[in-house]
Amino acid sequence: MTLVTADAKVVADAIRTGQSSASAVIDAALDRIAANNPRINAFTALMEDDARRQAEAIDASMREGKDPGPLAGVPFAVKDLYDVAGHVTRAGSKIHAERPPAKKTATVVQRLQNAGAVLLGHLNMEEYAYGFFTDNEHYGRTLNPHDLTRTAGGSSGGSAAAVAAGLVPFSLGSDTNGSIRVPAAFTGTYGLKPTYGRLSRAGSVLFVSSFDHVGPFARTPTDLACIYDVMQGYDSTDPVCRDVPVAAALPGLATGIAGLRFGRPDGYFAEVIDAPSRAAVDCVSAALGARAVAMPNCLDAARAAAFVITSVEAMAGRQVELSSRYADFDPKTRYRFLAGAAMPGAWYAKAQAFRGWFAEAAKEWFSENDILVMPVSPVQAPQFGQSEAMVEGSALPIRLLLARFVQPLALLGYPIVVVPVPGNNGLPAGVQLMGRPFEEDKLLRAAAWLETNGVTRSDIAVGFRED
Amino acid sequence: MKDERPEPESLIADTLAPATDQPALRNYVDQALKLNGLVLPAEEIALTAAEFERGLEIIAPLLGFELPDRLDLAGTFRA
Repeated sequence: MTLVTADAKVVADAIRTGQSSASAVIDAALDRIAANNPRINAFTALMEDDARRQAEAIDASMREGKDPGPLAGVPFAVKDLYDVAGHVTRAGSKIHAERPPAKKTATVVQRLQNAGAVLLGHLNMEEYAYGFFTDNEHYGRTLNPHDLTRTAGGSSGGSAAAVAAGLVPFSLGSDTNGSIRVPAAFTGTYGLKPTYGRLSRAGSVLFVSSFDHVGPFARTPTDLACIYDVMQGYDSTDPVCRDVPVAAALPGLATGIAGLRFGRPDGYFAEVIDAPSRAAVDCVSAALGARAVAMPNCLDAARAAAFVITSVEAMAGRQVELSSRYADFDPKTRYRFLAGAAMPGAWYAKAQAFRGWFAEAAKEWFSENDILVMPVSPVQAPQFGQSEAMVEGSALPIRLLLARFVQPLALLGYPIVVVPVPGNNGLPAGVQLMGRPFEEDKLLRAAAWLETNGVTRSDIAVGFRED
Repeated sequence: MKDERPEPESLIADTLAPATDQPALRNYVDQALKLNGLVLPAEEIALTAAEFERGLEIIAPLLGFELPDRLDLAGTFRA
């Protein structure tokens, strides 16, 4: 493997030790994107000139004996909802594409650049992050590198596909009701949805503010931890960002799982799931020694509450655009937004009340467990146009299936790491590891242990490997 | 915790009485859109009403869920 498809830590180590220049890495990465992106349509914009300039600056600082940062010369890309100074943030929308370029770079992107990472471009997404297919009317479909007839998931589909195809070693996405977790599962990448309020969202286009998180995709837990550590820190310009101490995950990453207690929720999280997805959870649960955890009979209501809050807040956030430019919305998202206008206020109030009650109930799940192990999706990546999937002998609507295991957890804002399990059918499946608020470090430790012991693995998709 | 959830169909009928009546549902959605400053052609209203109705299948369990008495409706969520 050459550096162009290497993991972030390998690239940074090579540049920091003078084995390669940042310019050489970035040139090779841009060439690889030019050759392979047309196959999957992950990028919506490249920032080649900016990237080459930053790489040259890193090489110059190396020559001057300065520390170029822990992510020196590592290429990355971000979902097209992060502001990047001098570039237009489209948010998957035709309407936003007409806006002027951003004046300031999003906080977490700037922190990565300050650490030496080199931004290559914007990545495709569902319009305004509303959906699980990344089948965008304006910017096209993003295809799953493991099977080009299938979705890479959404809404951060471009972010996941770019990592799974080896176009970049890491990327940023966002997660409201599962938009990091589902694409990570469908593309076999590691994904992190941190605690709500842990990472700054300043400079990102919000979708449902009370659920929105930013977070990374990568092919190793080590990279995930390294990226996460760089992005941590209070930011007063994001009103929900919590002023909590930075808790670096990388230093303790290899300390194993001794002392951690794992649980596997039963009931809702064990029902309505196909065989490969169930096998992935079985595999991870068995390796971690997870014990059964009884779930209350309220997960359907939790999903419903998240659905109502999403509908109302999403519509409220786009009311101006809907009132003046509704015809310019992607038809696949337009009516979801509009339907939010019809949601009675009493339902929204009940959903928020339920959320408060559910958050209290969820604390009990962790009284005897540090980490819960759950599936991401009841099915592996569906094909474009597929409306139903066979699950446990029944044909069920895809639109009801994809959010089943991720949307209820949106109410909690707890940290979740998705770990990938390669499937026997050539398609990966994902497993959620959920911990207590602000205990991302424990989740990443568990993910690292699973990788070290061969339980989980993120491979560049077969058709995109160099060999 | 009490969980006596009625079937979605009856919930829809009870909670949003005209929902099983398509013209009435479309009228309800049209009025809601207008209250939000959205004046749309009939076809757009019909498609929005259809989307709203699809969502009811997901929403039904919340409507039937009985929360404890005296729960503070202001909400206290914080991760």
